[in-house]
Amino acid sequence: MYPAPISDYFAPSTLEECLDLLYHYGSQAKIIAGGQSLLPLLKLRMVDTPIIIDINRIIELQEFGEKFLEPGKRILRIGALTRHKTLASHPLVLSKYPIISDAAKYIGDVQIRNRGTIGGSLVHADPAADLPVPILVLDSTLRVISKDGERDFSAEDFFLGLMMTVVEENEILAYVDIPSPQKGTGAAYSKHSVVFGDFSVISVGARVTLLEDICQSSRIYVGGVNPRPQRAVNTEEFLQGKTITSEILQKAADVMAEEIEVESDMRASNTYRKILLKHYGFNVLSKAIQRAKEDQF
Amino acid sequence: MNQLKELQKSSADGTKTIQVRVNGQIVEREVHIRMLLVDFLREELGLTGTHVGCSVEGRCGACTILLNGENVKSCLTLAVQADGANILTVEGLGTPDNLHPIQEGFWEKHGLQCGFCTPGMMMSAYNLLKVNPHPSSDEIREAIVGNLCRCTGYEHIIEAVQYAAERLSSMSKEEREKLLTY
Ligand SMILES: Cc1cc2nc3c(=O)[nH]c(=O)nc-3n(C[C@H](O)[C@H](O)[C@H](O)COP(=O)(O)OP(=O)(O)OC[C@H]3O[C@@H](n4cnc5c(N)ncnc54)[C@H](O)[C@@H]3O)c2cc1C
Ligand code: FES
Ligand code: FES
Repeated sequence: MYPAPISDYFAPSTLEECLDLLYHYGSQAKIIAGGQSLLPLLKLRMVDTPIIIDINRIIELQEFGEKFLEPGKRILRIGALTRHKTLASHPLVLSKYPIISDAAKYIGDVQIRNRGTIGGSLVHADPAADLPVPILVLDSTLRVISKDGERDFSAEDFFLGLMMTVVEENEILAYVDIPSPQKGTGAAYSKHSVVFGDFSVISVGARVTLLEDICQSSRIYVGGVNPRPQRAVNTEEFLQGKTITSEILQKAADVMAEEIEVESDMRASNTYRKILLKHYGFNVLSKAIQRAKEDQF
Repeated sequence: MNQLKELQKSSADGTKTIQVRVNGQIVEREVHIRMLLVDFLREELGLTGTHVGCSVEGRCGACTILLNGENVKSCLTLAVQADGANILTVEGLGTPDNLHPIQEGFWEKHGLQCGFCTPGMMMSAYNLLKVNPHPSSDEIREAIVGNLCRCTGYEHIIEAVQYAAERLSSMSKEEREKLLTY
Protein backbone atom coordinates (compact mmCIF):
# COMPACT_ATOMS: atom_id res chain seq x y z
CA MET A 1 0.00 0.00 0.00
CA TYR A 2 1.48 3.32 -1.05
CA PRO A 3 1.52 6.61 0.86
CA ALA A 4 0.11 9.63 -0.99
CA PRO A 5 2.68 11.35 -3.23
CA ILE A 6 5.42 13.24 -1.40
CA SER A 7 7.05 16.06 -3.32
CA ASP A 8 10.31 16.53 -1.47
CA TYR A 9 12.66 14.75 0.90
CA PHE A 10 15.50 16.17 2.97
CA ALA A 11 18.04 14.36 5.07
CA PRO A 12 19.90 17.10 6.98
CA SER A 13 23.13 16.11 8.66
CA THR A 14 23.18 18.80 11.33
CA LEU A 15 20.60 20.06 13.78
CA GLU A 16 21.03 23.60 12.49
CA GLU A 17 20.16 22.57 8.93
CA CYS A 18 17.17 20.68 10.22
CA LEU A 19 15.90 23.70 12.19
CA ASP A 20 16.24 25.84 9.05
CA LEU A 21 14.14 23.34 7.12
CA LEU A 22 11.53 23.25 9.88
CA TYR A 23 11.49 27.04 9.95
CA HIS A 24 10.78 27.18 6.21
CA TYR A 25 8.54 24.17 5.79
CA GLY A 26 7.23 23.43 9.30
CA SER A 27 3.53 23.39 8.47
CA GLN A 28 4.03 21.34 5.29
CA ALA A 29 6.66 18.96 6.56
CA LYS A 30 6.75 15.83 8.68
CA ILE A 31 9.82 14.64 10.53
CA ILE A 32 10.65 10.96 10.11
CA ALA A 33 12.78 9.17 12.70
CA GLY A 34 12.28 5.40 12.90
CA GLY A 35 9.14 5.66 10.78
CA GLN A 36 7.55 2.80 12.72
CA SER A 37 4.48 4.88 13.53
CA LEU A 38 4.63 7.39 10.70
CA LEU A 39 4.78 4.87 7.83
CA PRO A 40 1.54 3.08 8.78
CA LEU A 41 -0.16 6.49 9.10
CA LEU A 42 1.16 7.59 5.69
CA LYS A 43 -0.03 4.34 4.12
CA LEU A 44 -3.49 4.71 5.64
CA ARG A 45 -3.43 8.32 4.41
CA MET A 46 -4.20 9.47 7.91
CA VAL A 47 -1.15 11.68 7.42
CA ASP A 48 -0.57 13.31 4.05
CA THR A 49 2.51 15.48 3.81
CA PRO A 50 4.26 17.22 0.89
CA ILE A 51 7.67 17.12 2.56
CA ILE A 52 9.57 14.58 4.62
CA ILE A 53 12.52 15.55 6.80
CA ASP A 54 14.60 12.51 7.71
CA ILE A 55 16.51 13.20 10.95
CA ASN A 56 18.45 9.92 11.06
CA ARG A 57 21.76 11.49 10.05
CA ILE A 58 21.84 14.17 12.72
CA ILE A 59 24.65 13.30 15.14
CA GLU A 60 23.47 15.75 17.82
CA LEU A 61 20.29 13.72 18.25
CA GLN A 62 22.25 10.51 18.86
CA GLU A 63 23.78 11.60 22.14
CA PHE A 64 23.53 9.02 24.92
CA GLY A 65 25.22 8.98 28.30
CA GLU A 66 25.61 10.45 31.79
CA LYS A 67 26.55 14.10 32.26
CA PHE A 68 27.02 16.69 34.95
CA LEU A 69 24.76 19.64 34.20
CA GLU A 70 26.29 21.47 37.16
CA PRO A 71 28.42 20.19 40.06
CA GLY A 72 26.41 17.56 41.95
CA LYS A 73 23.64 17.40 39.36
CA ARG A 74 24.12 14.30 37.29
CA ILE A 75 21.70 13.28 34.55
CA LEU A 76 21.33 10.61 31.91
CA ARG A 77 20.90 12.34 28.54
CA ILE A 78 19.02 10.36 25.93
CA GLY A 79 19.12 11.87 22.43
CA ALA A 80 15.84 11.72 20.52
CA LEU A 81 17.31 9.31 17.97
CA THR A 82 18.24 6.68 20.55
CA ARG A 83 16.67 3.42 19.37
CA HIS A 84 14.49 1.18 21.53
CA LYS A 85 17.15 -1.50 21.07
CA THR A 86 19.72 0.64 22.90
CA LEU A 87 17.29 1.48 25.70
CA ALA A 88 16.46 -2.20 26.10
CA SER A 89 20.04 -3.45 26.35
CA HIS A 90 22.56 -0.70 27.17
CA PRO A 91 24.65 -1.65 30.25
CA LEU A 92 24.14 1.82 31.79
CA VAL A 93 20.36 1.47 31.50
CA LEU A 94 20.38 -2.09 32.84
CA SER A 95 22.53 -1.25 35.85
CA LYS A 96 21.19 2.16 36.90
CA TYR A 97 17.89 2.87 35.13
CA PRO A 98 16.34 -0.58 34.65
CA ILE A 99 12.76 0.80 34.50
CA ILE A 100 13.63 2.13 31.04
CA SER A 101 14.69 -1.26 29.74
CA ASP A 102 11.60 -2.81 31.43
CA ALA A 103 9.59 -0.63 29.03
CA ALA A 104 11.78 -0.75 25.92
CA LYS A 105 12.46 -4.46 25.75
CA TYR A 106 8.87 -5.40 24.99
CA ILE A 107 8.10 -2.69 22.43
CA GLY A 108 6.80 -4.46 19.34
CA ASP A 109 9.45 -6.90 18.15
CA VAL A 110 13.16 -6.98 17.28
CA GLN A 111 12.66 -5.26 13.92
CA ILE A 112 10.57 -2.44 15.46
CA ARG A 113 13.13 -1.95 18.25
CA ASN A 114 15.98 -1.77 15.73
CA ARG A 115 14.33 1.22 14.02
CA GLY A 116 11.98 2.93 16.49
CA THR A 117 13.33 5.87 18.50
CA ILE A 118 12.50 7.37 21.87
CA GLY A 119 11.85 10.76 20.24
CA GLY A 120 9.36 9.29 17.78
CA SER A 121 7.58 7.36 20.51
CA LEU A 122 7.27 10.35 22.85
CA VAL A 123 6.16 12.82 20.18
CA HIS A 124 3.73 10.31 18.67
CA ALA A 125 2.23 10.01 22.19
CA ASP A 126 0.12 6.93 21.63
CA PRO A 127 -1.80 6.38 24.88
CA ALA A 128 -0.73 2.72 24.89
CA ALA A 129 2.94 3.39 24.16
CA ASP A 130 5.50 2.12 26.65
CA LEU A 131 8.14 4.84 26.98
CA PRO A 132 5.99 7.77 28.15
CA VAL A 133 5.30 6.07 31.52
CA PRO A 134 8.93 5.67 32.70
CA ILE A 135 9.77 9.13 31.37
CA LEU A 136 6.99 10.54 33.57
CA VAL A 137 7.87 8.35 36.55
CA LEU A 138 11.50 9.50 36.47
CA ASP A 139 10.62 13.23 36.46
CA SER A 140 12.46 13.76 33.20
CA THR A 141 13.00 17.04 31.40
CA LEU A 142 12.44 17.23 27.65
CA ARG A 143 14.27 19.75 25.46
CA VAL A 144 12.35 21.06 22.46
CA ILE A 145 14.20 23.24 19.93
CA SER A 146 13.31 25.50 17.04
CA LYS A 147 15.08 28.29 15.19
CA ASP A 148 13.49 30.69 17.66
CA GLY A 149 15.03 29.03 20.68
CA GLU A 150 14.84 26.22 23.18
CA ARG A 151 12.05 25.19 25.50
CA ASP A 152 12.33 22.76 28.42
CA PHE A 153 9.33 20.82 29.67
CA SER A 154 8.81 18.52 32.57
CA ALA A 155 7.42 15.21 31.32
CA GLU A 156 4.18 16.03 33.14
CA ASP A 157 3.72 19.17 31.00
CA PHE A 158 4.94 17.56 27.77
CA PHE A 159 2.02 15.19 27.12
CA LEU A 160 -1.23 17.00 26.40
CA GLY A 161 -3.59 14.22 25.40
CA LEU A 162 -4.37 11.62 22.78
CA MET A 163 -1.37 11.77 20.40
CA MET A 164 -0.81 15.37 21.42
CA THR A 165 2.28 16.98 22.91
CA VAL A 166 3.65 20.50 23.27
CA VAL A 167 5.92 20.07 20.20
CA GLU A 168 4.94 22.56 17.49
CA GLU A 169 5.29 22.14 13.73
CA ASN A 170 8.56 24.06 13.52
CA GLU A 171 10.08 22.31 16.54
CA ILE A 172 12.01 19.17 17.24
CA LEU A 173 12.39 17.11 20.40
CA ALA A 174 16.16 16.97 20.88
CA TYR A 175 16.74 14.96 24.03
CA VAL A 176 15.41 13.74 27.34
CA ASP A 177 17.30 14.37 30.59
CA ILE A 178 16.74 11.97 33.46
CA PRO A 179 17.99 12.89 36.92
CA SER A 180 20.42 10.39 38.38
CA PRO A 181 18.95 8.18 41.13
CA GLN A 182 18.89 9.27 44.77
CA LYS A 183 20.02 6.79 47.39
CA GLY A 184 17.38 4.24 48.35
CA THR A 185 15.35 4.73 45.19
CA GLY A 186 14.04 2.01 42.90
CA ALA A 187 11.70 2.01 39.92
CA ALA A 188 9.96 -0.56 37.76
CA TYR A 189 7.52 -0.86 34.85
CA SER A 190 5.32 -3.62 33.50
CA LYS A 191 2.52 -3.94 31.01
CA HIS A 192 -0.23 -6.30 30.01
CA SER A 193 -0.84 -6.85 26.31
CA VAL A 194 -3.14 -9.22 24.43
CA VAL A 195 -0.28 -10.60 22.36
CA PHE A 196 3.32 -10.71 23.60
CA GLY A 197 5.15 -7.52 22.63
CA ASP A 198 2.05 -5.63 21.59
CA PHE A 199 0.73 -2.25 22.76
CA SER A 200 -0.42 -2.32 26.36
CA VAL A 201 -3.94 -2.94 27.64
CA ILE A 202 -2.71 -1.41 30.85
CA SER A 203 0.76 -0.53 32.06
CA VAL A 204 2.10 0.60 35.43
CA GLY A 205 5.31 2.41 36.29
CA ALA A 206 6.41 3.27 39.81
CA ARG A 207 9.32 4.84 41.62
CA VAL A 208 9.77 4.54 45.38
CA THR A 209 12.32 6.06 47.75
CA LEU A 210 12.85 4.20 51.02
CA LEU A 211 14.60 5.02 54.27
CA GLU A 212 14.81 1.91 56.43
CA ASP A 213 11.71 0.36 54.89
CA ILE A 214 9.68 3.54 55.27
CA CYS A 215 8.36 5.10 52.09
CA GLN A 216 9.74 8.64 51.80
CA SER A 217 8.19 9.44 48.45
CA SER A 218 6.83 7.75 45.36
CA ARG A 219 5.73 8.51 41.82
CA ILE A 220 3.23 6.26 40.07
CA TYR A 221 1.72 6.44 36.57
CA VAL A 222 -0.74 4.17 34.80
CA GLY A 223 -0.71 3.96 31.00
CA GLY A 224 -2.85 2.40 28.31
CA VAL A 225 -6.22 3.38 29.75
CA ASN A 226 -6.57 7.12 29.22
CA PRO A 227 -5.66 9.63 26.48
CA ARG A 228 -2.41 10.10 28.36
CA PRO A 229 -0.80 8.30 31.31
CA GLN A 230 -2.59 9.13 34.57
CA ARG A 231 -0.78 9.82 37.82
CA ALA A 232 -1.97 7.72 40.78
CA VAL A 233 -1.89 10.54 43.33
CA ASN A 234 -4.00 8.81 46.00
CA THR A 235 -1.79 5.75 45.88
CA GLU A 236 1.29 7.92 46.30
CA GLU A 237 -0.33 9.59 49.32
CA PHE A 238 -1.36 6.24 50.74
CA LEU A 239 2.22 4.97 50.65
CA GLN A 240 3.75 8.12 52.12
CA GLY A 241 5.36 7.48 55.50
CA LYS A 242 4.23 3.85 55.67
CA THR A 243 6.47 0.94 56.57
CA ILE A 244 6.43 -1.20 53.49
CA THR A 245 5.05 -4.71 53.88
CA SER A 246 3.48 -7.02 51.38
CA GLU A 247 0.08 -6.25 52.92
CA ILE A 248 0.56 -2.49 52.48
CA LEU A 249 1.51 -3.01 48.82
CA GLN A 250 -1.62 -5.09 48.29
CA LYS A 251 -3.70 -2.27 49.77
CA ALA A 252 -1.85 0.30 47.65
CA ALA A 253 -2.74 -1.69 44.52
CA ASP A 254 -6.40 -1.60 45.60
CA VAL A 255 -6.22 2.17 46.01
CA MET A 256 -4.66 2.39 42.54
CA ALA A 257 -7.42 0.32 40.93
CA GLU A 258 -9.95 2.51 42.74
CA GLU A 259 -8.57 5.90 41.69
CA ILE A 260 -7.63 5.30 38.05
CA GLU A 261 -10.47 5.96 35.63
CA VAL A 262 -10.55 3.07 33.21
CA GLU A 263 -12.70 2.60 30.16
CA SER A 264 -13.80 -0.43 28.20
CA ASP A 265 -12.63 -0.82 24.64
CA MET A 266 -12.25 -3.65 22.17
CA ARG A 267 -9.21 -5.02 23.96
CA ALA A 268 -10.55 -5.20 27.51
CA SER A 269 -13.55 -4.29 29.65
CA ASN A 270 -13.10 -1.84 32.50
CA THR A 271 -13.80 -4.60 35.06
CA TYR A 272 -11.00 -6.70 33.61
CA ARG A 273 -8.69 -3.69 33.52
CA LYS A 274 -9.34 -3.05 37.23
CA ILE A 275 -8.37 -6.64 37.99
CA LEU A 276 -5.24 -6.28 35.88
CA LEU A 277 -4.39 -3.03 37.66
CA LYS A 278 -4.43 -4.67 41.08
CA HIS A 279 -2.20 -7.47 39.86
CA TYR A 280 0.29 -5.31 37.94
CA GLY A 281 0.13 -2.54 40.55
CA PHE A 282 1.25 -4.96 43.25
CA ASN A 283 3.96 -6.56 41.12
CA VAL A 284 5.44 -3.29 39.92
CA LEU A 285 5.50 -1.76 43.41
CA SER A 286 7.16 -4.92 44.79
CA LYS A 287 9.79 -4.79 42.08
CA ALA A 288 10.42 -1.07 42.65
CA ILE A 289 10.86 -1.72 46.40
CA GLN A 290 13.24 -4.58 45.74
CA ARG A 291 15.30 -2.32 43.47
CA ALA A 292 15.17 0.53 46.02
CA LYS A 293 16.90 -1.82 48.44
CA GLU A 294 19.56 -2.42 45.78
CA ASP A 295 19.75 1.26 44.76
CA GLN A 296 18.49 0.69 41.20
CA PHE A 297 16.49 3.54 39.81
CA MET B 1 34.64 -2.88 -1.74
CA ASN B 2 33.52 0.00 -3.89
CA GLN B 3 32.90 3.27 -2.17
CA LEU B 4 29.23 4.13 -1.81
CA LYS B 5 28.31 7.73 -2.23
CA GLU B 6 25.22 9.32 -0.82
CA LEU B 7 23.76 11.45 -3.54
CA GLN B 8 21.55 13.60 -1.31
CA LYS B 9 20.11 15.20 -4.41
CA SER B 10 16.46 15.99 -4.23
CA SER B 11 14.57 17.50 -7.12
CA ALA B 12 11.22 18.60 -5.61
CA ASP B 13 9.38 16.64 -8.29
CA GLY B 14 8.61 13.76 -6.01
CA THR B 15 11.61 11.68 -6.98
CA LYS B 16 15.16 11.24 -5.76
CA THR B 17 18.15 9.31 -7.02
CA ILE B 18 19.48 6.81 -4.54
CA GLN B 19 22.41 4.46 -4.43
CA VAL B 20 22.39 1.31 -2.33
CA ARG B 21 24.45 -1.82 -2.01
CA VAL B 22 22.16 -4.82 -2.28
CA ASN B 23 23.60 -8.30 -1.76
CA GLY B 24 27.04 -6.97 -2.60
CA GLN B 25 26.12 -5.05 -5.73
CA ILE B 26 25.83 -1.31 -5.98
CA VAL B 27 22.73 -0.07 -7.75
CA GLU B 28 21.54 3.44 -8.53
CA ARG B 29 17.94 4.33 -9.33
CA GLU B 30 15.61 7.28 -9.44
CA VAL B 31 12.68 6.49 -7.17
CA HIS B 32 9.49 8.13 -5.98
CA ILE B 33 9.91 9.50 -2.49
CA ARG B 34 6.77 7.72 -1.39
CA MET B 35 8.10 4.35 -2.55
CA LEU B 36 8.52 1.81 0.23
CA LEU B 37 11.82 -0.01 0.48
CA VAL B 38 10.04 -3.36 0.00
CA ASP B 39 8.53 -2.16 -3.29
CA PHE B 40 11.91 -0.85 -4.39
CA LEU B 41 13.46 -4.27 -3.84
CA ARG B 42 10.64 -6.17 -5.52
CA GLU B 43 9.62 -3.88 -8.34
CA GLU B 44 12.75 -1.94 -9.19
CA LEU B 45 15.30 -4.66 -8.54
CA GLY B 46 13.17 -7.75 -9.16
CA LEU B 47 14.19 -9.26 -5.83
CA THR B 48 10.84 -10.87 -5.09
CA GLY B 49 12.08 -13.07 -2.26
CA THR B 50 11.20 -10.25 0.11
CA HIS B 51 7.45 -10.66 0.61
CA VAL B 52 4.56 -8.35 1.45
CA GLY B 53 2.12 -9.86 3.90
CA CYS B 54 0.27 -7.36 6.05
CA SER B 55 1.09 -4.31 3.92
CA VAL B 56 -0.22 -1.62 6.32
CA GLU B 57 0.64 -2.02 9.95
CA GLY B 58 4.01 -3.74 9.67
CA ARG B 59 3.26 -6.70 11.84
CA CYS B 60 3.85 -9.88 9.77
CA GLY B 61 7.59 -9.64 9.17
CA ALA B 62 7.46 -11.23 5.68
CA CYS B 63 9.32 -8.17 4.35
CA THR B 64 12.21 -8.44 6.83
CA ILE B 65 15.64 -7.63 5.40
CA LEU B 66 19.00 -6.59 6.82
CA LEU B 67 19.57 -2.84 6.63
CA ASN B 68 23.10 -1.83 7.63
CA GLY B 69 23.47 -5.09 9.51
CA GLU B 70 20.18 -5.11 11.43
CA ASN B 71 16.90 -6.79 10.63
CA VAL B 72 14.12 -4.33 9.86
CA LYS B 73 10.76 -4.40 8.13
CA SER B 74 11.21 -3.02 4.64
CA CYS B 75 7.53 -2.04 4.47
CA LEU B 76 8.17 0.43 7.32
CA THR B 77 11.01 2.28 5.61
CA LEU B 78 11.00 4.56 2.59
CA ALA B 79 13.37 3.58 -0.21
CA VAL B 80 14.92 7.07 -0.10
CA GLN B 81 15.85 6.46 3.54
CA ALA B 82 18.06 3.60 2.41
CA ASP B 83 20.27 5.92 0.33
CA GLY B 84 23.85 4.90 1.00
CA ALA B 85 22.85 1.77 2.89
CA ASN B 86 24.02 -1.83 2.83
CA ILE B 87 21.15 -4.25 2.29
CA LEU B 88 20.98 -8.02 2.49
CA THR B 89 17.90 -9.84 1.20
CA VAL B 90 17.18 -13.56 1.13
CA GLU B 91 18.63 -13.71 -2.40
CA GLY B 92 21.98 -12.76 -0.91
CA LEU B 93 22.12 -15.68 1.53
CA GLY B 94 23.15 -18.58 -0.68
CA THR B 95 22.58 -20.27 -4.02
CA PRO B 96 20.64 -23.49 -4.80
CA ASP B 97 23.98 -25.33 -5.14
CA ASN B 98 25.50 -23.70 -2.14
CA LEU B 99 22.88 -23.05 0.51
CA HIS B 100 23.60 -20.80 3.45
CA PRO B 101 23.58 -22.83 6.72
CA ILE B 102 20.31 -21.06 7.64
CA GLN B 103 18.72 -22.17 4.37
CA GLU B 104 20.13 -25.64 4.93
CA GLY B 105 18.50 -25.69 8.36
CA PHE B 106 15.07 -24.85 6.94
CA TRP B 107 15.57 -27.54 4.30
CA GLU B 108 16.79 -30.23 6.69
CA LYS B 109 14.31 -29.57 9.48
CA HIS B 110 11.27 -28.84 7.31
CA GLY B 111 11.11 -25.30 8.66
CA LEU B 112 8.46 -24.28 6.18
CA GLN B 113 5.21 -25.33 4.55
CA CYS B 114 3.87 -22.69 2.16
CA GLY B 115 7.12 -20.74 2.43
CA PHE B 116 5.57 -17.30 2.53
CA CYS B 117 7.10 -16.31 5.86
CA THR B 118 10.39 -18.09 5.18
CA PRO B 119 12.55 -15.32 3.68
CA GLY B 120 11.68 -12.97 6.57
CA MET B 121 12.22 -15.75 9.10
CA MET B 122 15.66 -16.43 7.67
CA MET B 123 16.66 -12.78 7.87
CA SER B 124 15.61 -12.61 11.52
CA ALA B 125 17.51 -15.85 12.16
CA TYR B 126 20.57 -14.28 10.51
CA ASN B 127 20.33 -11.24 12.78
CA LEU B 128 20.08 -13.52 15.83
CA LEU B 129 22.95 -15.84 14.93
CA LYS B 130 25.22 -12.89 14.26
CA VAL B 131 25.14 -11.90 17.93
CA ASN B 132 24.14 -15.15 19.61
CA PRO B 133 25.91 -18.26 18.26
CA HIS B 134 24.08 -20.66 20.61
CA PRO B 135 20.53 -19.40 21.12
CA SER B 136 18.14 -21.30 23.38
CA SER B 137 14.72 -22.10 21.99
CA ASP B 138 13.26 -19.23 24.06
CA GLU B 139 15.81 -16.84 22.59
CA ILE B 140 14.87 -18.01 19.09
CA ARG B 141 11.18 -17.50 19.87
CA GLU B 142 11.88 -13.97 21.05
CA ALA B 143 13.95 -13.24 17.95
CA ILE B 144 11.06 -14.21 15.64
CA VAL B 145 8.20 -12.57 17.53
CA GLY B 146 7.99 -10.09 14.65
CA ASN B 147 7.70 -12.84 12.02
CA LEU B 148 4.31 -14.51 11.72
CA CYS B 149 3.92 -18.00 10.30
CA ARG B 150 0.46 -19.33 9.61
CA CYS B 151 1.49 -22.87 8.69
CA THR B 152 4.20 -24.49 10.74
CA GLY B 153 3.35 -23.87 14.37
CA TYR B 154 6.97 -22.63 14.70
CA GLU B 155 8.49 -25.83 16.19
CA HIS B 156 10.26 -26.79 12.98
CA ILE B 157 11.44 -23.25 12.44
CA ILE B 158 13.09 -23.30 15.84
CA GLU B 159 14.77 -26.61 15.01
CA ALA B 160 15.92 -25.13 11.71
CA VAL B 161 17.59 -22.21 13.46
CA GLN B 162 19.21 -24.54 15.98
CA TYR B 163 20.50 -26.68 13.12
CA ALA B 164 21.98 -23.59 11.48
CA ALA B 165 23.56 -22.52 14.78
CA GLU B 166 25.27 -25.91 15.10
CA ARG B 167 26.47 -25.93 11.51
CA LEU B 168 27.89 -22.43 11.88
CA SER B 169 29.65 -23.15 15.14
CA SER B 170 31.32 -26.19 13.65
CA MET B 171 33.03 -23.91 11.14
CA SER B 172 36.24 -21.93 11.40
CA LYS B 173 36.01 -18.33 12.57
CA GLU B 174 36.77 -17.04 9.07
CA GLU B 175 34.12 -19.18 7.40
CA ARG B 176 31.58 -18.22 10.01
CA GLU B 177 32.33 -14.54 9.61
CA LYS B 178 32.02 -14.77 5.85
CA LEU B 179 28.54 -16.21 6.29
CA LEU B 180 27.29 -13.85 8.97
CA THR B 181 28.85 -10.42 8.71
CA TYR B 182 26.84 -8.62 6.09
C1 LIG C 1 3.99 -3.69 14.68
C2 LIG C 1 4.27 -2.57 15.64
C3 LIG C 1 4.19 -2.80 17.00
C4 LIG C 1 4.45 -1.77 17.91
N1 LIG C 1 4.36 -2.05 19.24
C5 LIG C 1 4.63 -1.06 20.12
C6 LIG C 1 4.57 -1.32 21.53
O1 LIG C 1 4.32 -2.43 21.98
N2 LIG C 1 4.83 -0.28 22.37
C7 LIG C 1 5.16 0.97 21.92
O2 LIG C 1 5.38 1.85 22.72
N3 LIG C 1 5.23 1.23 20.60
C8 LIG C 1 4.98 0.25 19.70
N4 LIG C 1 5.06 0.54 18.36
C9 LIG C 1 5.44 1.91 17.91
C10 LIG C 1 6.96 2.04 17.88
O3 LIG C 1 7.43 2.07 19.18
C11 LIG C 1 7.49 3.27 17.21
O4 LIG C 1 8.86 3.07 17.08
C12 LIG C 1 7.31 4.62 17.91
O5 LIG C 1 6.04 4.85 18.38
C13 LIG C 1 7.59 5.77 16.98
O6 LIG C 1 8.95 5.99 16.90
P1 LIG C 1 9.66 6.22 15.50
O7 LIG C 1 11.04 6.61 15.82
O8 LIG C 1 9.45 5.07 14.63
O9 LIG C 1 8.88 7.52 15.01
P2 LIG C 1 8.31 7.96 13.59
O10 LIG C 1 7.31 6.99 13.13
O11 LIG C 1 9.43 8.29 12.68
O12 LIG C 1 7.60 9.31 14.01
C14 LIG C 1 6.45 9.33 14.83
C15 LIG C 1 5.96 10.77 14.98
O13 LIG C 1 6.87 11.55 15.74
C16 LIG C 1 7.39 12.64 14.97
N5 LIG C 1 8.80 12.74 15.38
C17 LIG C 1 9.71 11.72 15.38
N6 LIG C 1 10.86 12.13 15.95
C18 LIG C 1 10.69 13.42 16.32
C19 LIG C 1 11.52 14.39 16.98
N7 LIG C 1 12.76 14.11 17.41
N8 LIG C 1 11.00 15.63 17.20
C20 LIG C 1 9.75 15.95 16.79
N9 LIG C 1 8.92 15.07 16.17
C21 LIG C 1 9.38 13.82 15.95
C22 LIG C 1 7.11 12.30 13.54
O14 LIG C 1 6.95 13.44 12.75
C23 LIG C 1 5.83 11.51 13.65
O15 LIG C 1 4.73 12.36 13.74
C24 LIG C 1 4.81 -0.47 17.43
C25 LIG C 1 4.89 -0.24 16.06
C26 LIG C 1 4.64 -1.26 15.16
C27 LIG C 1 4.74 -0.99 13.69
S1 FES D 1 4.69 -6.60 4.99
FE1 FES D 1 4.08 -7.27 6.95
S2 FES D 1 5.66 -6.44 8.19
FE2 FES D 1 6.16 -5.69 6.27
S1 FES E 1 5.31 -21.57 6.09
FE1 FES E 1 3.42 -20.75 5.50
S2 FES E 1 3.43 -18.89 6.60
FE2 FES E 1 5.11 -19.87 7.41
